[in-house]
Amino acid sequence: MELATTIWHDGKNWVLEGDGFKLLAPELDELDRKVAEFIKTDPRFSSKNIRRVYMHFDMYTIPQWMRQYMQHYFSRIIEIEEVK
Amino acid sequence: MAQEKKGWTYGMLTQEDWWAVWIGGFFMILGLMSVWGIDLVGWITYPKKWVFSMPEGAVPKKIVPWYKAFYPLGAKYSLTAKSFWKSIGPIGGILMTYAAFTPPLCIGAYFMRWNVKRFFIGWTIIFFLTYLCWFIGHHAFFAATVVDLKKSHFPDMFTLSLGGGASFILALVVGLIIGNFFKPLARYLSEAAKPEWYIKTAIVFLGVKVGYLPIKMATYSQKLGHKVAGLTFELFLAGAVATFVAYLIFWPGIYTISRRLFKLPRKTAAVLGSGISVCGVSAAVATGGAVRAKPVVSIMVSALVVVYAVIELVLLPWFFTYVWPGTDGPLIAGPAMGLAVKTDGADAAAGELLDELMRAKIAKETNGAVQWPEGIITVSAVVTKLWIDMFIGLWAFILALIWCYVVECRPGERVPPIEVWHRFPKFVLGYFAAWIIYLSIFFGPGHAGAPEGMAILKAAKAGAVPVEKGMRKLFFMLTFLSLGIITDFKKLREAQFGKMVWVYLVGLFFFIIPVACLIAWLFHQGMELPNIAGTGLE
Repeated sequence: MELATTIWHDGKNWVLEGDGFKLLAPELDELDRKVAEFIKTDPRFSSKNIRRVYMHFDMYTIPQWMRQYMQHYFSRIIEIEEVK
Repeated sequence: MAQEKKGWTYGMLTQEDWWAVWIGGFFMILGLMSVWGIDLVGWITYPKKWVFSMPEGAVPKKIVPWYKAFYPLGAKYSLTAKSFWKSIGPIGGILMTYAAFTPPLCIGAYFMRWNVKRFFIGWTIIFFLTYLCWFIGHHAFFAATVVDLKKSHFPDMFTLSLGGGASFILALVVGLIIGNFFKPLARYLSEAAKPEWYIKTAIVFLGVKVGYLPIKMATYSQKLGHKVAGLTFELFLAGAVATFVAYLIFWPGIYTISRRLFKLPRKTAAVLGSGISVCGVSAAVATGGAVRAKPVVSIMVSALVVVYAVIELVLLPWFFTYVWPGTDGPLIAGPAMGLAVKTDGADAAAGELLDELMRAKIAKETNGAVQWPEGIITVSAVVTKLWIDMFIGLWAFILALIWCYVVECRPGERVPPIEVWHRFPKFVLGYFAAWIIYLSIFFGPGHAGAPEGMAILKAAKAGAVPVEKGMRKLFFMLTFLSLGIITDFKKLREAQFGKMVWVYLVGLFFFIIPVACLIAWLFHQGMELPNIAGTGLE
């Protein structure tokens, strides 16, 4: 099963938001570890057999004047089993 | 915050790229109605060169008295409603133009979740300011060429011979004054000062121009129509090869300069490398995303790109016209511009300015014996840039793979291949669609300019000219003004950019521009513009 989330940057941390949760980390590696741990331990998700997390980048992180040039930053997928 | 998975239809109602296609396509379809005898685009109002009072013996042909400085294009080109468009006059035409564009643009602003009220007010101010610049810039002193003077039976007089270029320069200067000296106003107008949206829409209109050029030429001679159809296709192919070569040289060069000479961190060097060498803001954002750089890096690079692109827009058209390659190589200068100027808006605007300056210069140099068709030099600058835009997605995807699997290998991370599509410049679809539709009319029912196809070609012309000439130029003017409004030169002085300002300066002027000139020369030398003097097509 895949979990859809939104990722953005607050100037200091990468912020991952999903259904009723929010995780922060200064680096993506740490964020990946946090989300993997969270999904394995949180009772709302641990039973759902989530294997992939889809991170949709929220373009509101980019200033409005810049969005006209390119309206896509990145989206990423992580496979939970491989994240230690 | 909303969570949504991005499918291939993502952004069709919320992104400027798509809205350029919808608006450009909508007006192109209105123009196409002329094939069935329905004129729905004759209202677009276009300037003429003017003087306050006509000298004795002069005829109001190319140069007219000030009160005739604008006219709805339908008054000249319509086959079915000429007298109606004549009757609305210049003021009526400008108001109709405003009324025709305001609703679709406001609808676009609404779907893109902008502040519609602010957009509406900003757009209104920018629109009328644009027409004012268009008016002033077309005064004969700035714009009239030797050919215009001759055809209007004017006595010999000194003019700057800038053609339509004077209006573009004026619009940019007015925009820059607002952007740098009236900042609260600039901030307010920024909701509607969208150079990229306007230029992408103008590029869809340019697609009509490229497809229509053979039709226009065929109305004089079938052979000329074929020649121009071949030339535009040749530019299209040469642009692709030149862009590919440029990618292979530009990016590694700038990356090396950033790392070795200026000791920038790897991610910053990658983002800067793409920003300076590939395609400005789009590439900086795409690469920032691909290498997972913090958004602030892309944002800083993008601010530099926008400012430097305007500096290039001010300098390069003059350099290419008056220093190198001059009128010996107009189709080298255009692609060089496309390879060197790093935003779509600034590049297309610079190409258009180059087109005006080059055509005015050749007319002056030859006393009117050589005249080039309008728009092909612009096309040569834009088509190279379109290829660059199309490659961005692929380049960003390759970088993302390299970063994901080689440079910063993260367990479990995958790069979705649909990222390539998300980064694809959608407005290009509108450009190609317009080109193919008009080319199909030329080669299909138009019988490639043979006498039996002439009736349909003339009908297509009546709807194409208001779009490719009137609407395209209007959106170019809007781009120039908007570019000025959002360009704040103070950004260059802001301390946090530090080294990046210098990397950009060195990289651009000592590496990118010279290499762009060399590549453009290698792939475009020998291409020639047709001479249309004496054909009635001038």
